[in-house]
Amino acid sequence: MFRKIIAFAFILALTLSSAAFAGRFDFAIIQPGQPGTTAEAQPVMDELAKYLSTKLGEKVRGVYYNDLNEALGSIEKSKPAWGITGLTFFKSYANKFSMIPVASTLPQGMQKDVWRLIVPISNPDSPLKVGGTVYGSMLYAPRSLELLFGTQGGEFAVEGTHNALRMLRKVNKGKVAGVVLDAVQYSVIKDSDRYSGTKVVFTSAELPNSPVVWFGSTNDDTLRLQAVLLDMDKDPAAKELLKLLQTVGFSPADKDLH
Amino acid sequence: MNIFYTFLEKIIRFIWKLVRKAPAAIVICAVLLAAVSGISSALWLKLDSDQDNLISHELPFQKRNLEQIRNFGDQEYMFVVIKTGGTEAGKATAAKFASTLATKLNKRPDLVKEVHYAMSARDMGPGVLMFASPDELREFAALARDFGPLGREWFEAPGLSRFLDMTAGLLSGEKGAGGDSGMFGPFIGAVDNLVGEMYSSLVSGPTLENMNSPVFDLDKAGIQYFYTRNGKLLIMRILPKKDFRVMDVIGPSLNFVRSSLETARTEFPGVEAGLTGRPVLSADEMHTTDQDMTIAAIISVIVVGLLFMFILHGWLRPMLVMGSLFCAMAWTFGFTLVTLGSLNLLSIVFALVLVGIGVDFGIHVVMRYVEASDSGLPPDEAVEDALVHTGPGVLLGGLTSVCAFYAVLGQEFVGLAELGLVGGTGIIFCLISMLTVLPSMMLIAGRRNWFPSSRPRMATLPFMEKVISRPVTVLLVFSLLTALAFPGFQKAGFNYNLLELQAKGLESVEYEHVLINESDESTWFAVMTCPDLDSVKSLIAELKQVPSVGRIESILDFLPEGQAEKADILRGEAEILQGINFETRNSRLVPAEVATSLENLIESLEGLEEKLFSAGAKKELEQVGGIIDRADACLEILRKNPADAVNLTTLQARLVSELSSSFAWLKEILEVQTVAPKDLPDHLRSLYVGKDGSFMVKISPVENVWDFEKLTGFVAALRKIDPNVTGVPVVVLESSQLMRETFLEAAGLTIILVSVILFLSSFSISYVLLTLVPLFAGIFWLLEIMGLTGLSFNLANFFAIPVLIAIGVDGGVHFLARWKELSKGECLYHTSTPVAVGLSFCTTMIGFGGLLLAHHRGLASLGGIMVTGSATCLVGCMVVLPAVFRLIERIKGK
Repeated sequence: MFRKIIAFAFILALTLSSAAFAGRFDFAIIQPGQPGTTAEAQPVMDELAKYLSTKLGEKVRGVYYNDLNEALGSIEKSKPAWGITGLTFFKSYANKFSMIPVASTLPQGMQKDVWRLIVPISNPDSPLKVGGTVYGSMLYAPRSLELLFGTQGGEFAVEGTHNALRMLRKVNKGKVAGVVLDAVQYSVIKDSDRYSGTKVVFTSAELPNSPVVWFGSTNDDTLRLQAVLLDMDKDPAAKELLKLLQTVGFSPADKDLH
Repeated sequence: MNIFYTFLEKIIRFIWKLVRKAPAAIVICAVLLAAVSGISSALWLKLDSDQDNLISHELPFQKRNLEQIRNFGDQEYMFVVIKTGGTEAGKATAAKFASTLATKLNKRPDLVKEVHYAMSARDMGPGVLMFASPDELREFAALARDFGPLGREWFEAPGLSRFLDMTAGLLSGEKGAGGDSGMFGPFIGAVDNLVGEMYSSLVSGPTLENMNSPVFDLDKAGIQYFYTRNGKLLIMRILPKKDFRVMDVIGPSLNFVRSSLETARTEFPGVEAGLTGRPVLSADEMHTTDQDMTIAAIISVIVVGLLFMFILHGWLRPMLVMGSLFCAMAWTFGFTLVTLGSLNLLSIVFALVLVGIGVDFGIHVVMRYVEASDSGLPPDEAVEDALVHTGPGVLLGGLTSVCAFYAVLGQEFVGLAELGLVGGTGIIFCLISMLTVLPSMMLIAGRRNWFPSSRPRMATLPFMEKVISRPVTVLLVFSLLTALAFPGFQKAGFNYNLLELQAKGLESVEYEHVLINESDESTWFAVMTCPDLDSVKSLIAELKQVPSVGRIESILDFLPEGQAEKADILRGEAEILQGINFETRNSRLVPAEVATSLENLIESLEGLEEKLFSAGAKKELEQVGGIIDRADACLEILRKNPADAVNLTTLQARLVSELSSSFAWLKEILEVQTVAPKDLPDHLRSLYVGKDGSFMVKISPVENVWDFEKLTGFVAALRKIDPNVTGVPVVVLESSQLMRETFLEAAGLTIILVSVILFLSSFSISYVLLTLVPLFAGIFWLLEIMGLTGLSFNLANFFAIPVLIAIGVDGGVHFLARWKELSKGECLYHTSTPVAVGLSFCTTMIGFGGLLLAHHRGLASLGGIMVTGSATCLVGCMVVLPAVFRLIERIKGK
């Protein structure tokens, strides 16, 4: 109640500095292409760290990256124990960082993700005839196009963006060749009249959601972490935190990730 | 014949001498006295409609009640009950409804003293932070440390443009970003408000309506509405202005609240809301009873008039009876003015009593006059015959009626005692008027031959002789019927539930039921007082153990716990705001700067949109999209015509004023280290701290205490803890019991007094018993019928008992007097007495029969009991008593 009193005039972020990782359960959330900044997301990371510290009895710290290069550099440098990564990041760097999926996120409660290629309504219906650059928040990592089309692949250029909505608006106006939206993003526009200038020309197969991964060989700590994460949806104390993390909970690792 | 009866006859003879000598003088004196009494009463007789004055102020429970009212003030609220449907959307709409209604009500402080429906942080006083938990407080202090520098920066040159820039910075994360999702709604809502106000100002210019209104309504931030625990209702408490000099104590306030409520309903057609609470129920009760009584009076006057005209033939005789009655009524008003100076809520019904009882005296005199005239006597002798023969009986009957009313004199139930005094004296005045004024007028009219020459259509009831010709059969039939109906007698009871007396379908009654059934709220609460806070704490701990106790309210609800720990957390936090000049003047508004700031804001909002889009937050995305659209529109206006920026000057001034006030308040609340009762705002302190410094604890029941058993249990449980408990439940319980006891005592005393008077007038036990036959038979059958039909005594109809005793005995007195007068060969039903007695009962039945149509269930039940009781007494008088006479005659061989 008291915080809301000053809601407008007094809101301010708690800034904090990132520090080198060292803890057994320190983590990194790596979502290249997602909007915002590391600093903006830090309060959420702190909340998650605080929750896990309580559950695991260990001091936990975490950090968020939405910039691919920053994330790559940081992992090598600070060696987090585990992380939540975007699917394309996992597929592209699983071997490099010895990532082992231990759980899956459930954004909006969905078990699987689906990507859709959206183009201006005046364009041809075939994805093969898309000309120009296609944008998408998940298109930063090298294997993203392969994930979208499976084995077929696409002929057009792709580019990662932090501004998927802006790109969608441009597609709506016919100014950009196309945009790829994940299932959560698509849920926002699917019933909206605002984007009547667009159409879906390709829908991917069902894809795994962002996985929770363990860096390196799994051990007892992995199992302890997994147990805590899988129980979060049943814990009233985790309700608000899960909202901040934009997932309704965690499920066992998606088999399609292996 | 005995001395008493002889004395009565001598009085009548004396009266007759006066009447014969100076009938005109008597009439003129009576009318003059009536005029003086009537006019002076109209001018000076007051009405005391304060329910608290109905009971002796010397009674311990009433003393405590009045002391509590004096000490803590009037806390008898009206309640507006708003249904929310239990959903968040419904609750939000209900809150808007309440706010709209409160705004309307607050415009008339002359009618509405207080309106409570929510409590904002500011309403809690400067110690508001002390109510937060230590964790909340730490979080708040951390936030304050962060925004302190921001405030300092802004107040260096406060203005709209800088505010937009800072908002953009917050949104983009340049000035940090909130990680609390709970902040999103209020923050975006505030940005939405500001941009919306900017757009309106640029399009329409500043308006008078919002010239001084806040931009963000920060004063209302953190507002907590008074929802019931299950969230289904929102309760507004309204304290009306009261005026005890008029019948309708809260009339003007109630009308205003109702009309405001109606207007609010039209503005929110989907909202269900209604008004209730003890003062509203009382006012509605008074209103419905007033309406019902008016209708009943009109019906009874018309029907009784027609009956009189039919039986007495013509209009003159009925007019003379009514004229005499009006004289007696006027004298009674004069008597009340001189002795009491005011009428109370009970004694105001004395007029009905006089119509029911007083008019009967006149009927006997007139009927006997008709009989005498019919037998060929000239007017003087006919009047003398009527007076001399009916006078003692009328006097005797009248005296028994007076006993019924005077029996309550000196009782602690002041309202009833005053009704007894006024009613009893009124009956004496009726006796005087019917035995002096009426004969005088009849003498004048008879001497001048004004009466119609034809005889009345129904002066005797000869067919009834056949009915009672077999007295044993008649008595056996009635005995059998009485025995068959005996189970009903065992079921007859007393219903204390005041809510069940109210009219069905009344909004106040319906919403009282809604409150009872769907909430933990109660419009009734008991009150205990404690000398200090420690005893309040221990009392509350004790009360929590009582199963019948629901909500407990006290000053402790507003005195936070763990104050020392919280003070430590807050210590020094206010320093972050030290030195900020909250009085700084607004900076100059430069159109280009505002436009640039708007561009910054739009850019930040677009960044926010991306985040929302990725999170799939459709609703929030739409809201932000709307803000961007309006900000774009503002930008376009400013680009086209930068001079329009002048329209934002007022908005800027409002913004600066509101934030200055909010920051100053923030500094104030950060500085508070303790909260004691004296630190609370007046409106809160006065609710719980008395003028003598004692503390009030309000205790609501869990169960529906309109149910008398539950009320009794609730009060008994509280008395075990504190015998001095008071409040509405205690007053209602005690006064209900007192009223019932008073009536029962009065009824018993009346029977004894009446029996004594009857004995003194005859010195014969058998005479007394015979006279009481119609009364006892009638009351017994009444109880049987009540049990069989489910009709029960209640606090509204118990008043019927003294009236029934009066008319029941009166009938027996006249029948017995006439029976004794009969010479050999004469038959009772060939005289005018049975018609006179029958007419008396009929006028009573008709008079009260109109109440059967009443919406107020208490009044309808009074009508039911009076009609049934009059009918049973009539049967007892007209059939059973003559059958007994006939049986006695046979036994005696008369």
